[in-house]
Amino acid sequence: MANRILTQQTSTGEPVAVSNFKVYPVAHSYQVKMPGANGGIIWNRPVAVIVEDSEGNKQVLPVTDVTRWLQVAIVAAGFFGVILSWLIFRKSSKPAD
Amino acid sequence: MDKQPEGAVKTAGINLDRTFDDVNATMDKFLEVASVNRVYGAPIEVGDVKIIPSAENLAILGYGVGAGFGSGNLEANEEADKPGEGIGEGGGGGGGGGGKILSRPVAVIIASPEGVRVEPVADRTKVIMAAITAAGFVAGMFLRMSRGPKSF
Repeated sequence: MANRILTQQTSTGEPVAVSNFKVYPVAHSYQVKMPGANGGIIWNRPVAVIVEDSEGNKQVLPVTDVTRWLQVAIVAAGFFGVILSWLIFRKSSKPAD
Repeated sequence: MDKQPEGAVKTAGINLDRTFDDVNATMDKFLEVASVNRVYGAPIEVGDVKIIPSAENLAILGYGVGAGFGSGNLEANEEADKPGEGIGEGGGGGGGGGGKILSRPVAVIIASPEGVRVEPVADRTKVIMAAITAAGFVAGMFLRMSRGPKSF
């Protein structure tokens, strides 16, 4: 386990009690440790919260990273824009038969 | 002087095992970033409502340790013109490292007697920077393609 390059782990924290709810925070972590290298990288992010009511019913509320989604969407739109303009200019620059 | 553990590497007064123990202790502290407590902050109470902040963490750490020692060759110096010179031993060691922890708020969890909801936190600066970069890239490619192929 300790010698693995990539380790991923999902962990649940201590519950936070509010009124008749209990909120369990859930986080996901990725650890990269290259063999022979001293050090490593850890990426840790929130995943969801589990809400448990007084009757024991559990509901999972995902934690959405809006910033990350927007960044990916913008980069994808830019990439798509470049491909589209390349296709348009390629078509218009073809010599007429 | 602490008792040397069996099998410990000790060269010229430098206890490498202890050095590596210190480094491993630092590494363990670094690995604590992977704890869920580092992602979710302590709840903030506002009346009946509890607000739990959450953040994404990226931690990078690198370090290195080194040590060396040397000793004079007694037999060789006794045979040489100046016997006794160069007798002894010495050594040195050192280490260094660096790291960085990047943290970014992701969402806040608002828990009230009415229910629990997750409010995302959008980092406008990062989004605007991504938009400017993408727009610049698209504009650059558009201009380059509109000029047509280069002819020499």
